[in-house]
Amino acid sequence: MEKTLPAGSTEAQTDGVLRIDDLRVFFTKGGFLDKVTVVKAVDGVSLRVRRGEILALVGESGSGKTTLGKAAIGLTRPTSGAVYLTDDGEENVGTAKGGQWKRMRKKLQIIFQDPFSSIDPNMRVYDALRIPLMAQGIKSKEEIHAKIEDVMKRVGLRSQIVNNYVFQLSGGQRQRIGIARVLLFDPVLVVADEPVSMLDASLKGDILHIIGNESKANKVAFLFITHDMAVAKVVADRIAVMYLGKIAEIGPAESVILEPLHPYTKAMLQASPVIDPSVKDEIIKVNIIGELAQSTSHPTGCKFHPRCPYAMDVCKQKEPLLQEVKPGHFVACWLY
Amino acid sequence: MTALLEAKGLKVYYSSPRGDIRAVEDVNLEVGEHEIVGLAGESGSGKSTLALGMMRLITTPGRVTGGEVNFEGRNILTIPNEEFRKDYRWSKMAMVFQGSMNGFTPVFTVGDQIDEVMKIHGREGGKTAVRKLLEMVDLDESIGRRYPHELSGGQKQRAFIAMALALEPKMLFADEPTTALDVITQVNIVNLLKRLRREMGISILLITHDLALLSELVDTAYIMYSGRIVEQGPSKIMFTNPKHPYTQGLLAATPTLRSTTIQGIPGFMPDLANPLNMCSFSPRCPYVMDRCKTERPELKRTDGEDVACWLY
Repeated sequence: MEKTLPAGSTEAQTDGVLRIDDLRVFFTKGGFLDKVTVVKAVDGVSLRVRRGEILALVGESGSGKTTLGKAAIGLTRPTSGAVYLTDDGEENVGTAKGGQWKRMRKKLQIIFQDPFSSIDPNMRVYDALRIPLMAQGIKSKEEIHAKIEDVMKRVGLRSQIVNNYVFQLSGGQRQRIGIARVLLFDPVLVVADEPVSMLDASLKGDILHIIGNESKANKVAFLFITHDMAVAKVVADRIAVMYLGKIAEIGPAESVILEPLHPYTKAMLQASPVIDPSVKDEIIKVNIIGELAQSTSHPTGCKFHPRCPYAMDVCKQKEPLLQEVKPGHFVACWLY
Repeated sequence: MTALLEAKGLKVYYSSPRGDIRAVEDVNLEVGEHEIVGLAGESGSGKSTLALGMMRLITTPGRVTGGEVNFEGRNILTIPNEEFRKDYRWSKMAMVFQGSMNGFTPVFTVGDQIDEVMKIHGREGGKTAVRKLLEMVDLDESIGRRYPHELSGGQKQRAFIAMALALEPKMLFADEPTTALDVITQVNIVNLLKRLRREMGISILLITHDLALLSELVDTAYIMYSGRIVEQGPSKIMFTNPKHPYTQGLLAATPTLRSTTIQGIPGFMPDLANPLNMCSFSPRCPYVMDRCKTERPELKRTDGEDVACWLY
């Protein structure tokens, strides 16, 4: 298989915190009285995340964005390729063990989508924050107090709330606690897996604001996983569009939204609703064939070609590589 | 436009140890023939309860405590259960929910399940009828021979819409029909709903929290807050010139490709167990005045819309 170019390679050499090299994560299913199928969840992804940047991973369900996020912080082992934490030297996330792994884990954190199932509702907020600190060997009461007070302030919650039980909190407050928990350890990189998709409109803005603020003020990098282009536009510095385990396009957020290159990105943008009552009687046209590809089917050549309205012969035969079309803006498509 | 379905002064309360939770309080809502009406609000605003109330699907601890729901001029809340089941539910008013694609039983094919609905309701059913229904929702007839787990989320949601349409209802309730779906699938469902209205003349009540989606689909929009309608009007007016501060806040909070930032609405919805003699949005409102805290505004006609706000 051909090697894809490391995305963002021109400028990402300096001050990167995470480097993903030709990462592949495959799962197998079936096997008992059934043929074995290989799901190529992530299939040859290379990218770098810079210190304090918000990189949005956008794609449909099944595009591999969550698997990539998990592999980035060592929750899923790579099938091949590697993930390196590069904030201070270079350490392989996928093979780290024992004390080294425990130390790295503090720097690599994750926020989950559903704040109702990711935090034990029968715990007091204080304990939900204290226990992870103790697990990492912080025992002094003063230090724990100070840490908790600091993160509560950073997520915009009154510190009295620590005495409440988690079940007494609203969804927005719980998600803030979810963020507070990861900030306890001054992480270098946080994977935020659809952190606002379960929240009401009135709360989304606040959560995105907290994330934006942490990235700017405290230089926390975020791998922000979302299926919503509009959310990506609002929050991200760069956007990577994934399709069937590969990066189809990656570049500065403005550039990807305003001047998209890949036909798949264009279709996703056409399909994203805007507030516009004038189109209410029109059929909205989206330039794409069919719906949602299966990650068990592996078309030859460009994986997008069966759904692409511009597919040419070359697309069926050869896989396109990511190439830089505009400064920092890469696309894997034979049209360019 | 004559109203096909109309809620008049509808009240739905849930019993709780703290007293009645007034989830729907004195709501009027109309859906005309061939009309697509949208109902939006945050979680807990009462929008789903209102829809359930209009479909006569409220179960304990909830109960309808007042008002009426008229369908083609007849109050369906007073119709005997058996008659309602036979003559109204599904055959005149059908529904599609957010998770309804998981409502298929996994052990029968999709086609058999659609066929069964028709047969149970005394229609002829059969393969041709099933094929026609699947065609209507842009699905190939081979889908009918498959089991639910073999379909993608979007295909299942469409098959479910086909099942909802099996008895040719005049009215379709769609509660967050696209929420769990990807954007491209979502747009296809939206287009499908538009086509159903255009080709079959079906009326639709769409319940969603996504104002962008709503703005691109509905003729008339209702915005609900803490059990009451706070703004209602033609979507062309509401989404170009929103009046209620809550509607304005929701629009500013909705991320779209045109937004550069989005703003939250600070504060929480009031406790619905305590009826307030004030504007329930006033604790969160940036334009709050003294009057807002002592008197509750009623809906008032303003620039082609109805708004419940003392600013107008």
